[in-house]
Amino acid sequence: MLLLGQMTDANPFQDPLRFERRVPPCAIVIFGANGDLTKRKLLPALYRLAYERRIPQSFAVIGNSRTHMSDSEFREKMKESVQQFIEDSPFDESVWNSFEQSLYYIAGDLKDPKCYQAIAAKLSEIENDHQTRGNVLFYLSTQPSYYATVVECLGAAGLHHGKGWRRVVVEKPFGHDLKSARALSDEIHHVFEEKDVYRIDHYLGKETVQNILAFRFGNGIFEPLWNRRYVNHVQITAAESIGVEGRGAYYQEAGALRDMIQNHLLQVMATVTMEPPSFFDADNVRDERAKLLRAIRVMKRDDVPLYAVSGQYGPAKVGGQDLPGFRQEEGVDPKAQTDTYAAATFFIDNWRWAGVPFYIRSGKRLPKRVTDIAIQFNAPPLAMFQQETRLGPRSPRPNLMVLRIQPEEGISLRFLSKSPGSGMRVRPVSMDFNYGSSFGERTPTAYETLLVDAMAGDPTLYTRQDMVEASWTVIEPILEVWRNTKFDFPNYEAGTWGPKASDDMLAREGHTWRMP
Amino acid sequence: MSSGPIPAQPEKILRELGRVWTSLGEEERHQGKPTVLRACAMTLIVITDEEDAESATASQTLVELMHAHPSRAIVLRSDPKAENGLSARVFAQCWKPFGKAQQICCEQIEVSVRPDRLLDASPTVLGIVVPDLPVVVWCRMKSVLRVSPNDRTNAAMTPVLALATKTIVDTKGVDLNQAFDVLRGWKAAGRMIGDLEWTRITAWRETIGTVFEENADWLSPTGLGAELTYSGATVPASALYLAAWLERGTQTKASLRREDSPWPGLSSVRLSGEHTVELSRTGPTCLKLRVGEQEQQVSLAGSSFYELMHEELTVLGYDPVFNAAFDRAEASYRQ
Repeated sequence: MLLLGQMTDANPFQDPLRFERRVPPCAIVIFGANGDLTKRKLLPALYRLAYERRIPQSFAVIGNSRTHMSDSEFREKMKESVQQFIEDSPFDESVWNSFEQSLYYIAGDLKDPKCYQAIAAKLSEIENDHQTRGNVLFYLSTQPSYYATVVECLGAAGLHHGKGWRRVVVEKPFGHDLKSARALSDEIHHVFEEKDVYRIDHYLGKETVQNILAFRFGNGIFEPLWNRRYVNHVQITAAESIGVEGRGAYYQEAGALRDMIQNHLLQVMATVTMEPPSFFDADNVRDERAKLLRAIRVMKRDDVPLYAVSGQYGPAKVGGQDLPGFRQEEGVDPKAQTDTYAAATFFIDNWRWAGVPFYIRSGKRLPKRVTDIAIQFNAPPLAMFQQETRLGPRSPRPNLMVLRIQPEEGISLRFLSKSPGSGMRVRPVSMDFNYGSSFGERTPTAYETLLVDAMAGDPTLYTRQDMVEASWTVIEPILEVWRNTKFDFPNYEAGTWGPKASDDMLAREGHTWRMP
Repeated sequence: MSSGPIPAQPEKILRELGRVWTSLGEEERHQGKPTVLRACAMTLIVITDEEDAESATASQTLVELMHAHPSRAIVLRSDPKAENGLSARVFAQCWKPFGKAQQICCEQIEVSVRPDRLLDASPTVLGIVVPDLPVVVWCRMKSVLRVSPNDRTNAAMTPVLALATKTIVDTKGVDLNQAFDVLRGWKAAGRMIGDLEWTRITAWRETIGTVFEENADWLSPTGLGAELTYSGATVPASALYLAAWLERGTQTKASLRREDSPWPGLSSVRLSGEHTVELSRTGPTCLKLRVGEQEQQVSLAGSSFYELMHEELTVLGYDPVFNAAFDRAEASYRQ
């Protein structure tokens, strides 16, 4: 991420206060262009960038998949997707007409060298017609099992180098365990250098996750409290109310721990807890994140049952509607041992956080869709006031700061206030900052942000190989124990906050899950 | 939700505002859940008078701006028909973001004042700005840019302008001789200023910036001659600003030439030397860019008051590029 003062000096006609970061001349090759990600996220994001005049004339997209389509059929298909999936944005026919002239399609099998020859020929044609300067971003939006094949074929076809820069964007999952993550990385590194590999974790592209850095390091008043002396524990929740929605076959191989915690939530945890970088640039920010991930204590096998909980939802009736259990979902093995819910207690072994529990949970078919981080501060040393509750006077609840990632993005701080009237009765009140109301303008989607960053060569919000390995190292013992355990699933009903064992895990530390 | 006219005393206005919020809160009590969210990131003071032919557009702009820049808006209107010489009204501007259950509401206060009582309005405005947040003044009263610093209007506005984190004016169609005098005085006094004539050329500047960014390997601005054309009887500030901005990059003196065109203001820019870059207006919202033999149409959308003000409100701190262009443009205009 470039700071304002870092804008290039070569061009005197710059005004970083007012000009948006623009996409440089380049071509994007999307492998898996007929897939959901391309239709729902990538093309709508690129169209929106075109709508905002951030895409130059010298730009083109080549879509690839096995399905036979002409350029015009691809354009028509992408137009329908953009119209359907563009978020908070109008669809402008004239902008689309101009944008679609830069869309091309090549059908071909990912294992077939001829497919890459065709892509190479199209790239050189585009370089002439669109003046893309030989800059190419390869986007792997295929099934993960094809990542290594595509990269190897790109290398064999000589597409990994050219007149301009060549970069590759890899979607998660980056392997399914530490060993496979390392193997994938080795295979990619045979062709691309690490600096040209952009591992995308769309959570890091969310405005509200980026705002955590601004909140922590742009303000002077929070950081002094941000440590073991004042923080009692932290809860990170990523709940979904939906089930696997047709992704049953994929999901039963992944599970919540791999799908959410290993990547998104550990990255969020690292963002919340990392040390301040000495300078806000890609290397410094990623160094601090990586350092934090390496400081997370790796569980011993015997500790896994105490500090990690696996769950799977069963059928239930929610809002008058019968919902199937996970094992009844289409494409799912009726005896599947997949975790649709995962919770874990992590500790960070460094001076700032030693002894502070970090509770992370993620699950499907929970009561609502919400992602937030709750920082529970210590209670005052002396409970001077009592709080009226249904059960009579109790010690008041300590301060709580909630960083809301989605929905209703914002930050709130719970503190005590005197209730009006006589007597010194106190009541918790909430001071809210709502991202939407303070910045009512549209915020870019994570994919808009991340695509521009990749094209501009800014990897700040992308994960690096050492970060991926560190997070797999943390998750690996849990995976190993779970792999060798036969769970009595299902253990929670759809529409509830997960299995009882999860509540017990916190209760052992004297804590309870909050209700987001 | 609005009040009737009330005396323009700060405590009465603030009390009325309190009433407006209380009545909005009634709905919450009935529904038992939060339905209204109060949002405020700054105080936005709009100074206008009867000479302001576009005041209705400006009012609409203010409502639109609330979505991206929620603020306490204070409209100070110099009006010979002001009730009791000085009076105020209080509103809440509310909207419900798409798909959200809660309304977001901002405050708007209208203070009407007879021109001869302008001096009395300053204490009112000073008493109702939101504490501890930036204060932006959008000065639409052209007379402020016409008068000498000792004039009555300027004296009346001085306390209000002194409050401002930033003052935004529009030098379009005013006597630049006087306007530059006033703005230079404000700058010398350490005030942050913005001019919508500068904002109007962002699309031109961004297009030129991009051309040199994309073609940095063979196209250098240094030494290129810049020629700008404009239509209208007098040279617009936008043309002076653009010439000044270009001169910093080319390090040569830009020339300005009057030329008839269907569209008022800036008509074209030509940077020539070993290579030529030309940008010319071909429609109300369209530019033609020519780099060597290559041509491209560029959208010039973004010049409504809303878009101009939205851009200015995102730059509340020191703006070195504008300040440098202003100094150079003023010096060049004086020559």
